[in-house]
Amino acid sequence: MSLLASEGLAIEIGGKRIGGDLDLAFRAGESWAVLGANGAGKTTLLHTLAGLRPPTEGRVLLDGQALAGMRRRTIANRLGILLQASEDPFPATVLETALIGRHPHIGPWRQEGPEDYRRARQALADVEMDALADRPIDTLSGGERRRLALATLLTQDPAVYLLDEPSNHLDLHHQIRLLGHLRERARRDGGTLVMALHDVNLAARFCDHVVLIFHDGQVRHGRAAELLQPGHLTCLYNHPVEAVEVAGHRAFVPT
Amino acid sequence: MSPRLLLPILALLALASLVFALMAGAVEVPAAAVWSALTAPPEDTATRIVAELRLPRALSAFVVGGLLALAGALMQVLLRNPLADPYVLGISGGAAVAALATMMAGFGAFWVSVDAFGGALVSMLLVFALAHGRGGWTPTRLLLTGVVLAAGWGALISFMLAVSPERELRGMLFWLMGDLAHAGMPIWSALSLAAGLAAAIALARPLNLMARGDLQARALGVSVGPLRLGIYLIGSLLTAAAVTVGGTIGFVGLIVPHAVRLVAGADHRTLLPAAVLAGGTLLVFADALARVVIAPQQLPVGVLTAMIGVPVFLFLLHRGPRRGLP
Repeated sequence: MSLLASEGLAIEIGGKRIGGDLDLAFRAGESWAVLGANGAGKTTLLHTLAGLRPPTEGRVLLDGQALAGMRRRTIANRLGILLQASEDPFPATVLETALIGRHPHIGPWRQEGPEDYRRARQALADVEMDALADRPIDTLSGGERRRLALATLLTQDPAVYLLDEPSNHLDLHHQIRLLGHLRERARRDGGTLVMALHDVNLAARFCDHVVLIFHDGQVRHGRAAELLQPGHLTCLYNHPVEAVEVAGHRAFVPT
Repeated sequence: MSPRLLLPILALLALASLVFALMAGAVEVPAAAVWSALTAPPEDTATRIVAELRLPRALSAFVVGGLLALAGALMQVLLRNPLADPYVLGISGGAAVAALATMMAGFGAFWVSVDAFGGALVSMLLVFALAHGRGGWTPTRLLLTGVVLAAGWGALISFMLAVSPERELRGMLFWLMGDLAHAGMPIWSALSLAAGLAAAIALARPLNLMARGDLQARALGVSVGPLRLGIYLIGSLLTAAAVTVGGTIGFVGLIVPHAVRLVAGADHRTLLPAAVLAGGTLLVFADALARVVIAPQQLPVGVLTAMIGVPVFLFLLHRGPRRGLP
C-alpha cells in the first residue's frame, strides 16, 4: 500500500486547473521530484497533498484513509511539510524552534521530555547546526533558517516528507548533503519524499520518480529515468534543454 | 532568566506591591497596623482605611493589570502583530461609548460598569461578524476590521466629550484614562482572570505554534480555526472584564507582554502566567503612586502606568534580552 496517494485529483489556482483524474501513489522508500515552471502549481499540489487546502476534485489518501476526515494532529504524526518560507515575528532560539516539531507527538497536557530534546538536538546535528542551539533565530542567515526549518521537520519525524523547494538558500555542500541525508533516512525508515525543486540536476541525482506540471495544467508522472528527457524538459520550462554526461552524473543544461 | 526563577520572583514582587499599596496613601499606615488590620482588626481609622478602602482597590489594580497583560499577550499572538494590545480591536471603544453615555444620562458607577461590559460585548460581536465575511478570518482582516471599528468608536467618544456639560467631563476623562477610584472587591473580575489564565495556559503550546504562522501550525497538527476563535473570545472577555472595573487603562496590555518576552522568551507556557503577575504588579504600584504623588488629590492610574512602564521597558530593551536577542 502506498503511504500517500491521490485519486482523481484536480486542483485549481486562480481559475487555472491542474491535473484532473490525477492518480498519484507515493510508496515507502521512494523519492519524488515535482518539477514545473514558476506558477505551475508545485506548491499548491504539495499543500493539497498535505491537506492544507481542499482539492477541487478527487481526494487524498494517507495510509489508505481519506485525508479530509482526519484530525490535523493525526495527520501531523505521519506527514510533515517543509514550507517555502517561515515567519517568526516573536523571539525564539534555534533549539526551541526545532523542538516545535515534537508537538504532534506530545499529549495536550504534557511537556517535552528528555527524549524530545534528544531528537531535536540530533536533528540540529543532522543539519550541522548543533553549535547554534542557543542562538536567537533572528540572527540566522537565510541558509541557516532553511536548515533549521529542515531540522524542525526531522524532529517531527514523519513517514511522508513533503518538501517545498528544500534547496532554497542552501549552499552547494548543504544541498547535496541534506538531500542525501533525507533520502537515506526515508529509505532506512520506510518513508517517502516528495519535493518541489527548481534544479533539474538535483532531481536527477536524488529522485527516482518525478511529477511534471506543464503550463497548460497537464501533469505527467512516472519514473525519473523515463521522464527526465531533454524533450520533456524543453517543453516543461519553455526553454531548450540538453543532456550531458559529467563525472558519471547525467546533467541537464539550458542552452 | 529561567522560568523556574522568574515566576517565584514575580510572585514576590506582586506581594511586595500589594503591601506597599496598603501602606502608602494620603494617610501612611505602618506595616504593623496593616498586618493587624488584615488579621485581627481593631476598630480604628487605620483598619477602616486599609481593609475597606485600600485592600479592594489594590486587589482590583492587581486583577485589572493581570487581565490587561494576559489579553494583550493573547491579542499579539492572535493577530501575529507585536503592536497589538487589548484595545486594538475596538473592544474598549465600545465599552467607552456605553460608559460615557451612561454618565451623560446621570447614572452611578454601578450602571457605568454594567453598560461598559455590555458595550464591550457588542463591539466584540460586531468585529466578529464583520471580520467573518467571505474569505474567512485572517489576522490582517481581523486587525483591519477592529482598527476601523475602534476609529468609529473614537469619533463617537470625541463627539460625546464635545457636547457633555462641564461637570460630567472630569469623570469621563478619568474613565477614559483609566481610574480605579470606584473599584470594589474584584470578585467577578478575579474569577474571570483565573478562568481565562487556566484556559490560556491549556492552549499555550498550540499558541507557540500559531505564533509561527497558520500554515506551519496546521502542518504540525494544530486546528488553527477553532484555536483562533477561542483566543479571540478569551482575549475579548478578559478585556471587557478589565475595562468594566478600571476604564481604559493604557500601556499595560501592550508593553508588559513584550517586557516578559525580553526577560523570559516567547514560550507562552511561561509568558502567560508571568505577564499576569507582572501586569498586576505594575498596576498596583502605579495605582498606589497615583494616590500619593499629589495627595490628598488622586490621579487616574492610567497617567502613571506609562510613567513607570516606559523607563522600565526601555531599560529592558537596552539591556538586551536573554541570550543576546537584539
